[in-house]
Amino acid sequence: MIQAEETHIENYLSAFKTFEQVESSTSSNWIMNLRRNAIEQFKSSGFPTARRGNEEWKYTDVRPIAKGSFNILHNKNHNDNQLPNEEYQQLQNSDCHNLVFVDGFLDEDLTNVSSLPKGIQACNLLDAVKIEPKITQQHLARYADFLHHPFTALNTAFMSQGAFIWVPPNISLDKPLQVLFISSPSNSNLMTNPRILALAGENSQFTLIEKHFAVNEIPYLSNAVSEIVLGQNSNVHYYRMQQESKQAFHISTTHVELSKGSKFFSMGLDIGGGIVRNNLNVVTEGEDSYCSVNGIYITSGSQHVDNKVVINHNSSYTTSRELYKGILAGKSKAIFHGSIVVKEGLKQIDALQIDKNLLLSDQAQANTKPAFWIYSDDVKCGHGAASGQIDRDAIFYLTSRGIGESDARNLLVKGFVQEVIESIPDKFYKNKMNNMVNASLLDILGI
Amino acid sequence: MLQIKNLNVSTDDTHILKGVSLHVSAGEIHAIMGPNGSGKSSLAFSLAGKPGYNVTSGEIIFNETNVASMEPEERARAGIFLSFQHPVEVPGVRLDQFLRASFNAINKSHEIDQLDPLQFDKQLKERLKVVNMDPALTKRFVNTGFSGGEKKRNEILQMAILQPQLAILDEPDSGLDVDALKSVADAINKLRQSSNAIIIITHYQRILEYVVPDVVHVLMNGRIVKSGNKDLAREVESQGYEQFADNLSYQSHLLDKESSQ
Repeated sequence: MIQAEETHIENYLSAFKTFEQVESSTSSNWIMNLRRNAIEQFKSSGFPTARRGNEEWKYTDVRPIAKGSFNILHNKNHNDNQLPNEEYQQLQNSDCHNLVFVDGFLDEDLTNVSSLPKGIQACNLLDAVKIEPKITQQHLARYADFLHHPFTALNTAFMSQGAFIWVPPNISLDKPLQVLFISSPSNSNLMTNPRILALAGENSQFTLIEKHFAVNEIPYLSNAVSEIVLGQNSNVHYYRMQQESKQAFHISTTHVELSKGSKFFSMGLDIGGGIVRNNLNVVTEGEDSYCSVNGIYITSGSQHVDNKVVINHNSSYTTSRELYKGILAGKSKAIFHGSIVVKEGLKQIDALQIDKNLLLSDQAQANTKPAFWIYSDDVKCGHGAASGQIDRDAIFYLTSRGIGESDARNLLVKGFVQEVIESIPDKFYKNKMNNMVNASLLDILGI
Repeated sequence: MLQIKNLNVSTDDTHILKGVSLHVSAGEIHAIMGPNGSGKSSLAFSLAGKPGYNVTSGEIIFNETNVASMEPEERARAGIFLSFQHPVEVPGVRLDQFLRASFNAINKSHEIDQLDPLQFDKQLKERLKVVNMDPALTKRFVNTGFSGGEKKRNEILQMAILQPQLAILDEPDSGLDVDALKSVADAINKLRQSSNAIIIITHYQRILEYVVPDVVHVLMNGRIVKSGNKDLAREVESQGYEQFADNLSYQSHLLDKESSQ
């Protein structure tokens, strides 16, 4: 077993050599060195497959990923018009500035950022590293720690095309920026390493949508890393929508850095993926910063969705809110690890974490693992966790009003996640998320 | 309209209703009084069809149909309504949407046109006035975070919207202060019609000062031990339930003898 794993790591190492050669003509020394450091890290750590003493990956066994042999695509080989018509239309008519990546490569036909207000940059990360060396070197790979996280190391090693977003101070963006990572049907068993670096200048405001989407049900590994940095008093809304293939592995790591007075709202929706692990790490680096991080996961079949959220309160007068809810059907499994860390010597920290699961079958399984590391006294910290089946009393209440039993169930299932949708501050996205949740409930559960 | 004949109900292994018979005609208000644990709420749940309340013998004839084996939604569509003693909180489902779903589900079963949100809103506004309820509550999740009084009023609002032929009000007065009680009673009186019947289940007599019953029944240990006019309620209030204990032992004696044969 160990030997097989080593062989696979060898595959990544040799793929890296080819990757380096291909990229050498277009990459700066700085990024080449960064990648080399990262691959060295990955070489020494390998995948986090150990089962004993492996708290970080206790509930998610990544051996299926370690055993898989995924290919790295070195050159763009996809043809145009691989999107289903419906999706293509949606993209054309969307109210977003779109950066679209297909199998890891920027798709210039689908990308449309031409109507962005002056001063705002949304471009290929590889170009940004050259055009804006100072700012990219200051931020890229500075937050998402590749020294201790093998998947982040792997992403950083193979980091190439990605999204770079820079909203200068005092600018509010009207339309959201959407970064779309599409897995096309033409490349099975591919490993992609989607990457986003988004920087919000002082007093700026924007909405970022990160969407992972598969055209077909094929196997692949999508290993994404996003770094979002909020300048002072900035306000960022972040929607992460994951609709990968059910045969795919999806690992995502989002690191958010909050400066003084900044506000961060996030909403994650996990519908797809076979084995999914989302790491969300928020650090309140400045005082008076606030984050509200929320998520909905809807799983069925043998899906496995693991959300790990770490909130690091590093400054006084900071508040964090977490609300995650899951609807689990079939034999699916969901995990929520929520850690709240409060550094010592801080004042007025307010943290609340809630995770609830609705189990629609006896074989579905939910694990909630809250952890608190509190080193200050002036802390208000609460948490709530619950998993259960549909409330029979509520079913009776609804049916006693003439509503049929299956309609009553559907109302309750939809109602279960409604609380999370209600937390969305913007009416437009509230409706949009509602529609997406309803569509996936229809798709997955037929309701 | 309603004829309950020798109704016996069990939950799990507990025999709760032990031969209840009751006759309610259109236009009447009946009160069912009884001490805690006498089976009042069980009777209400049995009439509404709550799962787990198994009718072991007897009949519930509603408009010439035995509804005893019908699903709760079928009974609701037939015109039976239960106002809950403890209304259930339904987080995530907005009250106005729930009310419309309920209204339309019942109309649909009678092949009556369903209302769109705008049309329904109009009706809802009028009903809110009848029961003197804050319209803002209809934009909130059903009963979630409502005060005790708001929950009770919400039950009466549902009665006002659905206009059932038979309304069973399970302790519509419990937990209310005098002003709220008067206001809820006032709403019930407004909804009273010659074609409809109301059964009020209550522990205390005080609501019956405001909603005057035609018939009062005393329920003890799963049996109706005495029936009378509105004066019976006052008698209960002044002398308590103890006085009926003799009736109870007498009836139990007879019934136990019957069942052992």
